[in-house]
Amino acid sequence: MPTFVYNLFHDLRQRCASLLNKAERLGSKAASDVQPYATNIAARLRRLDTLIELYLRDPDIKVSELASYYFGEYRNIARFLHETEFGPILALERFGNNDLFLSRLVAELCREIQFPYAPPLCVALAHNYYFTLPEFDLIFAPASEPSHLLALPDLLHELAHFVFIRSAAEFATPLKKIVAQRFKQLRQQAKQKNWAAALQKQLSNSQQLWEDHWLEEFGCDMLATYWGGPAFGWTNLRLCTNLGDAIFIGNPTHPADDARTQGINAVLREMGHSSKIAALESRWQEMVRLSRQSKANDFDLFYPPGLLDQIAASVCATAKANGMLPFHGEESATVPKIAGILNQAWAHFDSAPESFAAFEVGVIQDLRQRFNVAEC
Amino acid sequence: MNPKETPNLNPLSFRAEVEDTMSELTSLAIEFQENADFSQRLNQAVLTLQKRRLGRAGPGCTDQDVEQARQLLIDVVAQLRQRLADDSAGVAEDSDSLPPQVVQRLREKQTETQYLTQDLEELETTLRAGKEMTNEQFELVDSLLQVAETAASASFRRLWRR
Repeated sequence: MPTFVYNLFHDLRQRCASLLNKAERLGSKAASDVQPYATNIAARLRRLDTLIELYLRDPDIKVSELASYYFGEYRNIARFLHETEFGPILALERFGNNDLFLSRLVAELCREIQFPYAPPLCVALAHNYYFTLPEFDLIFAPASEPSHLLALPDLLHELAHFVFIRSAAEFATPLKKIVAQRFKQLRQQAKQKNWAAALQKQLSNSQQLWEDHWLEEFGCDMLATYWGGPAFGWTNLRLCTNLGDAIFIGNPTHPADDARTQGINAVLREMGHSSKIAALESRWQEMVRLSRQSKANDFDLFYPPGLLDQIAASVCATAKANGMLPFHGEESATVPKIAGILNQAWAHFDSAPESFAAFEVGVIQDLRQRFNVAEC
Repeated sequence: MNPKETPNLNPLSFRAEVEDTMSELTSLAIEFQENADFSQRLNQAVLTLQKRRLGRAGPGCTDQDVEQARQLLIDVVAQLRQRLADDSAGVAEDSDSLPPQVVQRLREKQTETQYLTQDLEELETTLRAGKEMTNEQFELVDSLLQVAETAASASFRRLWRR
């Protein structure tokens, strides 16, 4: 009698074949921009199909002592198929003009900043805010983003995640060392000063939060600011007003909004855009006052003073050393850069919000014309 | 008036309960990817070593496969020992391939398992010497695998099954 795990691999084979069939069909009728993406997904599914066949032909799959390890393999493949179905296959199946517009915009941004990898696909299918599936070269944006400008700098934050994952040795490792050294120093000082055990423990907990997610989030904000300039800071401010909760308190995946803002400002200072910080900082303080929140006493235990400046310096130096192009400020190029357009949009919004809607419609029309994508 | 019949005049009453996970999907996707990759590499290595132990001759247990699996396990165990020895619960100064969630779960396990560090040290010695692993050492490796799989499943669930 076949083992349960053997039967499950048959289910996998069927699911994989079905998704492969879909990917091939969608690829054959996709726009030329999307065809390489669909072809790549189909190729991955074909390799997976071969692997599943190998497992099914492996006589050891029916050995009871090994069943749990084959079950482990089954689970890994099943999860991959689930992600493929809900990520790339969904994106390809629903791909329309708005997605084409966003994908071409992302491709242009990638060209401008000298993004070191192939531009990811970008679709307006997010079920909440922007998010990325890095393994599938896929960015999800909210449904209305193709018609708006103010949140588009967040695309740069999502692109930065690809860099932190794929160039971890250059970008993430130096930052990990900076953080580790700083917390080691703080722990030693805490010990020397006979801090309460609970406070010393809190330092260790903070360090764990940095290690889990915070460091990458700070790093991605900073790289996005390096590429996009003050516009990213403004987008962050807007995001905090929309989706933020406790300004001075982080959560397991994201550091506190206030600390993220400090990180963004640290990059702007590092890049010599100090004059732009004043306006941002003034609006930030206004938002803090409006929200009636204040810094908690233990804020510095989570975000040691000076640490974000060190990280900002490292991010900028590494980006420069890797040939990535920073935001240069106002420019008069014949074809305006996307980062420049986004900064102009924010400047317009901050100084003349009443006329911004009309301005935005015009800019989006120009961009659609530039990228040769018709309105939906 | 029955409170149930009171018209809701709160302008925000249309808002449904939302989970506190806005904009965290990228972080979760990355966390899942790290955990899944680690779990898969470890599972494949242990499968190979178990096949050799049982004297199986099927695919995936050539001498080269076994050597690669042994080397992967040495790297994982050495990195784990280093991370567990550092009681600061923090960031690795050097890059390693251990997902933070796996290290965190093993730190918790370490407080329950008195001899975990010592057992890992003995396992590394066995592997480096090219000796056969004992039954207890296979059990230890299985428990590491369990931790890796739990971390991968947990992040997958948070990412996709909310």
